[in-house]
Amino acid sequence: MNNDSYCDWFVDLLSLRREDLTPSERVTLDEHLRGCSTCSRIRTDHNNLITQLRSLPLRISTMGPVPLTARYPRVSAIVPVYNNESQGLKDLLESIPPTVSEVILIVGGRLTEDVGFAAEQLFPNVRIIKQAGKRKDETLKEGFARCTGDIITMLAADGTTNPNEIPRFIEALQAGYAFAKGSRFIKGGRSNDCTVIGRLGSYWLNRILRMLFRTQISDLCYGYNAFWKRYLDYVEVSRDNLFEDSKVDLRTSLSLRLLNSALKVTEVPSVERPSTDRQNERPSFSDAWQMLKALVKARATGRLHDANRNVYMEIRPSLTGSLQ
Amino acid sequence: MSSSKWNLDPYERNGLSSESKSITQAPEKRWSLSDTQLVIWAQVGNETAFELLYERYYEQIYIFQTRMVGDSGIGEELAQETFLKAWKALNALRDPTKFRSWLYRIASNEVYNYYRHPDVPSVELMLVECEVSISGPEEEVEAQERLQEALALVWPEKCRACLILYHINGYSIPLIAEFLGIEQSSVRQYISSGLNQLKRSLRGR
Repeated sequence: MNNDSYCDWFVDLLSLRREDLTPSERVTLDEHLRGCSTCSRIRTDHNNLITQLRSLPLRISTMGPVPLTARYPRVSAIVPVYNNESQGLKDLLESIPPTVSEVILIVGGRLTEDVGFAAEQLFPNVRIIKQAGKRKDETLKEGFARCTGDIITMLAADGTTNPNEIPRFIEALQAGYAFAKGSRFIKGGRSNDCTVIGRLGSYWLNRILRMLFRTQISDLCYGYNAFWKRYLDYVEVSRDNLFEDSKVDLRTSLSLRLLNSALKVTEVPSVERPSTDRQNERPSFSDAWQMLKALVKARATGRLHDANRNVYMEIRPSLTGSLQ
Repeated sequence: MSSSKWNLDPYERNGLSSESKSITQAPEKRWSLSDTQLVIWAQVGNETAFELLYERYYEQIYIFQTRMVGDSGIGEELAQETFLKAWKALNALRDPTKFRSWLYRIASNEVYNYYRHPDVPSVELMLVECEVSISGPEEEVEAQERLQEALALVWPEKCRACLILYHINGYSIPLIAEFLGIEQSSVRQYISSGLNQLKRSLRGR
């Protein structure tokens, strides 16, 4: 076997994704790349070419799919309640717009009677799901399964998410996107909850996650988002133990899952409101560090891959302006 | 065997009661239906179920075919033709869970048939030599056009289909093998060959 044909075999391997190689192929390839500068250069060329291929502009048809119905979609709001966030929750429920047809409360701790009563008064069809044990993922899945709406949106019980922004998310989804991701860091969005230190920490955490998952999404750690329920089939909510890991924020995990699922994504500007529940502790540096470590581990072990491999992902912060 | 299970009513074949038919009529249920359910309902003539499938897959098929032929207008025509054929032949689909693979098979066959049409110029006539050099917006657009053209010239069509489905659409090798009806080892070879052809074409060799 001459040297060229020997290298050809490795060039063939280099055209595949790493996860599609057998363990022995990976080991052999890694050893070869350490000693062969030509193949290392070819690998860089391949990666550049694949990146260019993925970034080819989509010339979407002007005709597009046939619109099915002119009716306004039914919206289900999921509100995870994990701490004693009664006051914030009450305010949140009162400000949910009539476009939301049902509310599902996922209760991790105790829910005071007056809040439960207020919820039932405001939304006769409110569903309250008690979290059994520590399995947040199972409870969330149950919540998703019980939604009867076309669109699912997630709100925070501490009042940081403004329900009046929901129509903005629905507008983005009706424009043809599968997943509308709220962002505090694009034009029209901001945070009124963070301190300067918190904002800086959030900015750097987002930057690291963007590099880690090779995505252009500007605010991975913000949990305000909405998506069509029909795409739940494509989101493996609890494929592994990522959700069980208490260090990883549930909404960040869900965002990464959605970004991993080959769906068309857009960002919607959102203004984060101050938390009404001051008893809640703000995430500390240590929390962020633990979460980052868990996500790096998930990325390294292949449980989460590049969000960038998704060709249908378009970042289009077209809906600007504040609702304040 | 006198009566195959495929001779049964599609509802019975998949263990569904006839009550399921009425669910399709409820608009609030439609978005949460799985592909399999929609295919079963479409097989008994529910056009709304097929419209939903069309809406879910049109864009994916359109993008795949546009990348294959390098022309968005032709890609659109092929995508329309693909769904028309799928609607006509839907009852021939025995396993509704395989709808996506079956649809991609029709889509790839549409592309292959397009290239067999006598009016389509040969690859040799279309061959372009180009050099990629991205430095400004105009150059970037030109480079993207050259890349799209070079992609449309990857030959044979199965090789191009593998390259697009793997590196652009992000599908796995087993899934591509299922879509195109070829062996997984062939998919691997096609991906590698396609990428090398693309590089050679862009270098102008």
